[in-house]
Amino acid sequence: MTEPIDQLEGLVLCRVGDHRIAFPASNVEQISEWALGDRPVPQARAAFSLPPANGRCVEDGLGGLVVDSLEIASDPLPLLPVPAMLLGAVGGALRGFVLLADQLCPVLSVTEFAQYLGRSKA
Amino acid sequence: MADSRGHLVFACGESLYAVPAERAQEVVSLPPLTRVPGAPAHLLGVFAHRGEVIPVIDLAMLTGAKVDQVSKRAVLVRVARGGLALIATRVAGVSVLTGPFDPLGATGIQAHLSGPATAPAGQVAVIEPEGFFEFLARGA
Amino acid sequence: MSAGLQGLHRWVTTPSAVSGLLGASVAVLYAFFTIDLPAGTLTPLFLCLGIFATLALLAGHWQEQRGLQTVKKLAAAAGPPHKEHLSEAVRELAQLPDLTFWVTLGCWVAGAVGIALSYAQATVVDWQIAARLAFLGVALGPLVATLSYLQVVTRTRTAIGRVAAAGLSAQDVIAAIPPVRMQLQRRLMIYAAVAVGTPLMLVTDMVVRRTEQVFARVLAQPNPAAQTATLSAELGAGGWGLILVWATVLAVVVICAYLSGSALGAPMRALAEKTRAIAAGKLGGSGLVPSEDEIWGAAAGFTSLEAQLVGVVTQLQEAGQKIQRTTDELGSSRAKHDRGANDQTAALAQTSATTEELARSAKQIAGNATQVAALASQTLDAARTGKNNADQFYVSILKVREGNQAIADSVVKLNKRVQQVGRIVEFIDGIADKSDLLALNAELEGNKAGEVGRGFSLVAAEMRRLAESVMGSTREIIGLIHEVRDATNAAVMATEAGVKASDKGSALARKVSEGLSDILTYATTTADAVQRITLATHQQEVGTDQLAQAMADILQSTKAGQGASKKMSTANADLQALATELKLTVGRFEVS
Repeated sequence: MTEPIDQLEGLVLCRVGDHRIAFPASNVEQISEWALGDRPVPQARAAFSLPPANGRCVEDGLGGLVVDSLEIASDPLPLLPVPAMLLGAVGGALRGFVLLADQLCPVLSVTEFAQYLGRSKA
Repeated sequence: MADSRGHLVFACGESLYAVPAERAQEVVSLPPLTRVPGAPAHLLGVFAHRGEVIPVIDLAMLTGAKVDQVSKRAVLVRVARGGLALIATRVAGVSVLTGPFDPLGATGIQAHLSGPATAPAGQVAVIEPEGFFEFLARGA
Repeated sequence: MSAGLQGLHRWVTTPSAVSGLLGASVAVLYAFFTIDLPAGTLTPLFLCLGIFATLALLAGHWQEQRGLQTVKKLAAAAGPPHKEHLSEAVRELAQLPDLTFWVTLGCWVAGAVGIALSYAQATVVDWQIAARLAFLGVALGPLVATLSYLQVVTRTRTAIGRVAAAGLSAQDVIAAIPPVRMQLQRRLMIYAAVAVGTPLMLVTDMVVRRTEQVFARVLAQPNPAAQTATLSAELGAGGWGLILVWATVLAVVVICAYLSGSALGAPMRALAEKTRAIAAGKLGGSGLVPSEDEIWGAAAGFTSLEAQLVGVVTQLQEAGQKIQRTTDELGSSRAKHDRGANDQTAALAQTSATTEELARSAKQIAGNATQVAALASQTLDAARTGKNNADQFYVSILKVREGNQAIADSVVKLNKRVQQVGRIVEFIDGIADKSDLLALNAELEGNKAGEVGRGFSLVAAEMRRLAESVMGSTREIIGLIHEVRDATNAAVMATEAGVKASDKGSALARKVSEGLSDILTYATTTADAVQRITLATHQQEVGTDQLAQAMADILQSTKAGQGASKKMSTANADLQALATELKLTVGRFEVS
């Protein structure tokens, strides 16, 4: 409550099933098409116990992962800090939450989330 | 052997739980929750409350009890490092408990529960909030 | 050509030569015994005799053959003989006997005269002797000619038969040889003259000459004694020679008589034979009887008669057969007709029965039609009543529908009200829930405040109980509202179903009404039609009665016709019997 609240400039909003996740836009280097049978890329759907599906591949310099669809939110948004209980969650990939239409959306690091998904898969 | 301090007694599923009244910040009505990727089953999700992100825990799921009721009501527990919400299917109110307050187990979540204490509503398991929080933070 | 005609012209004339030679022998014998031929003159006499006999034979033969030229040609000709030639040949053959007679007679007379003259010239004998020789020839001529004639005529008859067999009918032969009248009388006279005259002449001559001889020898004796002795010697000596000559002449005459009798009698016998055969029923068996003169006329007439008889008998036989066939056919067709008539009668009887049945049916139909008319009238009334009822039902069901609709509207309104109440109750529940939450938190805060907050907590707890009791009530109300909602939903559905049912009911009632209208129309039409049918069936009844009567009449007529047919059948049987009888009668004649 007392921690400073960061502002996020640019956000890649992704849809994974009925859920939403977001990546800082600065974190994303490339977005590409991905279809089943393409090169193996970690699936964000796995984090929600969903089966793989065609979608978009979000990549930074170190890794990438597949989401169902995505959009860019360019307005600056306040980044709510990670609650203490969840500091180690998602393999430390969780950067915080943003409020979008009274609904929280987790903001994740692409590289670490990809790594986390890779580990979970392994 | 009575604990003069008041405890907020609530039910989650079949079981009654109690938290010390000073740790029980308030009883809230839950908005729609956001699922956290890769979260365990008992972590139902998070919601924003007064500018803070609060994780929501289902005690019944955590203890392996049967889950047959959904509830919009939760008890917001505050510890030094942060807050968490415990799903309550029914809130009995603040009561003075009588012992015993022995730990219910040596390991796991049982290590952070004590009792069986007696409240007007029945026998309750008393939650030790700090240890409980830390246990969950580790698990997460 | 016919093999039977080969050599016929020679065979038929042979007897004339034989007769001539026979006559010549008789003449020589006679002359030897009755004429005192001077010694030394015999050789010239025989010479003359030989020459003239040969000449006479050749001349006769030539004459005869000339008369048989066609017969000769037929024998030589190749291929089938022409009918006219055959007729000509028959004619020639028929004329041959007469020709032979005259030629023989002529040759004899000429020959005798010639011999006498030649002999007299050659030997310078007494003219009396020469005259006697001539007389002898002339006297024997008719006998020999008759003999030739009789023999030739026998052969001619056979020859005519053979020529006719080569391709001539009896009628052709009859046409070829025209019958002659008054010939038989002349012929008999000639026969009589020859048979009586010739022996008489010869015997007279012989007696006269002998007497003269004896007288001459007696007169030549010088004395009566010698004369008497000579006379006795002469009477005793010359008797056998005379008897021999006489016997020879008699034999010739007898032969001649026999032959003439045969020549006349054979055709008569044949005709008698034929008559017996015809009398016995055998017709056309032995053909023509070749003969001459009136007998030929009789034979020809008889043959023609027989031919006509054959024709008549044949025609009768044919007619009998035809009648038999016709009566058979008639009988068979009669039988067929009878069968047909029987069938027809049976069919007519059946038809008549059927017609009667029809008449009965027509009566029944007429009765039924009357009943149907009554029923149609009843149907019409029933349809009218039904239509009125259906119309009333339609009005009623429309009212039911309106009532149902009103109920449905009310229920819908009620449902809306209940839903409004529900919303209010939910609102109250929400407030109670929030109050409960507030009270809980107040209690919690009061508790945190320790002793100071105890009273506050107590108030908060009371507030909570109040809120909870409100929430309990609202939950009950919500439950009730749910029940009401379910009930109203059920009511809405029920009323909607009722409306639909009444819609259907009204539609059905309309249809029923329309159907009944149609039925009414049809029933009216039916009633009219039934009226017409009733009328028509009554007319039909009358018609079928008439028909039945007509059928009965026809049946009666047919039975009558059958009776007539039976009579006709009997008549035909009689006719058949007659035909059989005729056939039997005619059958007695065998036509070959």
